Amino acid sequence: MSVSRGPLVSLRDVSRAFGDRVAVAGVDLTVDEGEFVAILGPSGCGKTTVLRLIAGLDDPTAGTVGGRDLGPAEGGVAYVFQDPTLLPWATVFDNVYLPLRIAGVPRAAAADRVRAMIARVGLAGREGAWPHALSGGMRMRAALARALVTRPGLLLMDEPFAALDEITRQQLNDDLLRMVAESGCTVLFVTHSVAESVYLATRLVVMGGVPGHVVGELPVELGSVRNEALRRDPAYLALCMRASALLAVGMGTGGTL
Amino acid sequence: MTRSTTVALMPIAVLVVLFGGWELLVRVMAIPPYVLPAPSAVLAALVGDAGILLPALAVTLRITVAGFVTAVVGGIALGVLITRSRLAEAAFSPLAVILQVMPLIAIAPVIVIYAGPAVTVYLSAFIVAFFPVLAATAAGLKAVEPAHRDLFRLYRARPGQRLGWLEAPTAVPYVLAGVRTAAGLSLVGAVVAEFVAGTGGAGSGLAYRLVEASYRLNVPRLFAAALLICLAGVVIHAAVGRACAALLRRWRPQGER
Repeated sequence: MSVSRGPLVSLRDVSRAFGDRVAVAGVDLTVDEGEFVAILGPSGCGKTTVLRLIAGLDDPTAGTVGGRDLGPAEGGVAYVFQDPTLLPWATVFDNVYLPLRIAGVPRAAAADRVRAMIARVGLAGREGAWPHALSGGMRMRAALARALVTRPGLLLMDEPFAALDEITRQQLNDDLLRMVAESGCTVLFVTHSVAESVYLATRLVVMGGVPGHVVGELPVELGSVRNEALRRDPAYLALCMRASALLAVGMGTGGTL
Repeated sequence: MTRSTTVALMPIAVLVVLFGGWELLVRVMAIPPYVLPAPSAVLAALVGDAGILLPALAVTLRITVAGFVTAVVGGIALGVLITRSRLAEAAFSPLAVILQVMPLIAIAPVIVIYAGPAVTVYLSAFIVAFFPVLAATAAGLKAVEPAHRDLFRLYRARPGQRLGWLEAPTAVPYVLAGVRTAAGLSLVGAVVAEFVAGTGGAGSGLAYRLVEASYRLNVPRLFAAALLICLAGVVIHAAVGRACAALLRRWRPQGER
């Protein structure tokens, strides 16, 4: 895949209304290959709607959703939902195997790859476990393995770790960064946490307002090494404050840029 | 005595008191058996008339099981069919509702004109068992969680994959609940039809023998036949209930999520 083929994702003046309620209006958003873009915004500002439009799970009422047609399989689009959404009647192995199974990869041919991916998210030995026997963090790890098993070109994540406790969340963020670096996939990560967005992303897109729109963008020039020390870095803290200020603008609670 | 053994013994104690009181009442007041037979007389009829009652029970059970099994297969099949398209649902739903609300006792005399007694009894067992399975299957197939539906859409699963790997597993507990309901109903359906359409001779069912005994004022045999029908219902209910529970455990091995 070469950069010359244009952005992976390109939203132009996109609006989506549900009946009388306009969820998002006039959204412009571009995501280039290799970026880790965090969409930051308060609850109800249409972040999830934007992600669903990009995934093709929903259609805009106005504007164009463009970019490259990646398709669902190898190198395609993967989606991590707010909940792990594992199939409760299937084991961890079968849940992770699902995208490949739908793509028609025989079980025997996929087995090594599925097992390797399960090990990479830290669930080695739990292949035969049922989702209800796993903790919330482990379920999310399995969901992550399911998303990454197709080696996606674009990974869409919708507040994936919001329901987890702080420690588990931090571990998963670090593991996510490591796996994204290894796989080289582009990530679009929706969150309402300023700290999380700055910690993870290479660029922030702040959303807010009713209907939801893009309030502003903020490049996160913190380099590729992201670890605990970063959290005390003045540059990190300054970015957090600027992101918070943008959020405040979006929520109409004052604040200046 | 522990609480659980007390709980287990209570129904037996109630039955003993009930039947003991009944026996005592009949003997003390010297009630003639054609008015109210004592439990001992019913037991005597059960043993003495076993040559008539047991073959009749076999006939009724055979037809009940045939009606039940075909209703389960047919109900699941039509349930899958009508959930494939709105058109199919619109086409078949009124028919299914008519089948359900139609009083069997009113329609059996009509069926018997065209189909003959044996087929009428079978059709009655089928009709009453069919609707619960159909309704449960249709409801179950539609009970897929939206997030799971999105997942299959994202990976562009074909309709057959969605049915086999998502909708059918989702529907399993619903269908089993419908099957449990249908089991008891199919016996009721067969018995009701035998009242209307039962025939004498080698092919006569238990309910026909019951009606026959009532005409002859052979009240102890009437009671014995009714008792056998009750027992058959209890056994069918328990057997199907256990089978369903076992299937459910295999489907989702450690119970709830």
